[in-house]
Amino acid sequence: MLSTPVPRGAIIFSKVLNAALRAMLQATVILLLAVLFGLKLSPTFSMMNILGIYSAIFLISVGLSSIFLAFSLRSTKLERPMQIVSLITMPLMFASNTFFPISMMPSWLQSVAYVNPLSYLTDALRQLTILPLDASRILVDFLYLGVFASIFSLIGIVLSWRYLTR
Amino acid sequence: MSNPNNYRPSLLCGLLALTVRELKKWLNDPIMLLMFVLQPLIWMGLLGKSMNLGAMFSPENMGNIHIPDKIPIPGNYVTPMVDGYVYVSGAWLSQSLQQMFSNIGENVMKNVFGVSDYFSYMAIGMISMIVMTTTMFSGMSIVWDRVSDSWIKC
Repeated sequence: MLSTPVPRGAIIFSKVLNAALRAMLQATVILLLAVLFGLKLSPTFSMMNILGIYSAIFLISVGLSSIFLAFSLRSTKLERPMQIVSLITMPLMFASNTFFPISMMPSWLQSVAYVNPLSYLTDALRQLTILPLDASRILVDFLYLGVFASIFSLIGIVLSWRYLTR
Repeated sequence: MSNPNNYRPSLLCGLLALTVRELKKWLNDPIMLLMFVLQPLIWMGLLGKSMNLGAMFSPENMGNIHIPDKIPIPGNYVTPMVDGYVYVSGAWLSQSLQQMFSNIGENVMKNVFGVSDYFSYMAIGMISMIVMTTTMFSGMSIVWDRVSDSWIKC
């Protein structure tokens, strides 16, 4: 693709940025649709909350797209990364906060859900939109998301330095 | 260096150019734009609205408890204490229980989920699910770049 004299870390970072922009746009669409369908906003909703929503989605999409990029760096066929990625997509989605509260899960599933970054993202988003804002919990959520994003984007960039050749 | 002009653009300029290129590649595709709006619509409209957990606590589902016509209460549980039994009418008890049940569903949902209807709870979960699928697809797009174009070392 690239005969441009741009360092390889920039290639990865542009894809990550692209994924983050797409995710933020899609989250806007979803929020608008949800309000149309009858989403009940909490009384503490304000314009600052929208900023918080976008920053949370930015952080997690940076981290997640670095993971998925790292899995597909070396392959030239589409099936291999698709299989690996679909193997980790299902557990990430269901062993988290998205469909049921963590307190209802059995203890072995709870231990996975507490490590899952998606559950921290969903908790932060819920506190920003439908639940009343709890400052300590949302700080913990954003801290976890920030650490997750930085660690995995670092891993992605380091892997791209070593492996992104032909 | 393989670049004869010795012109090296700054890192930020290259990053911006690449990002804009990726975005243009995606925005020019009408099918992708359609799926962009249709996918959350389908997921939320079907999954969100079909899992109507609050309907479990509707009066029809909670009101079918058989309450006898007269309920005896032993005399020493009543103030002031009486000998024998005091009878409470079953019809009045079931009516007041039905009035209580109309609030119980909302309170249970609020205690479990935090909001009184499941659709709000799950719509935010939909956001994280679709964020994950979006990043999954854009993460795998690097494979198409490796397949279609050829990597030329700069």
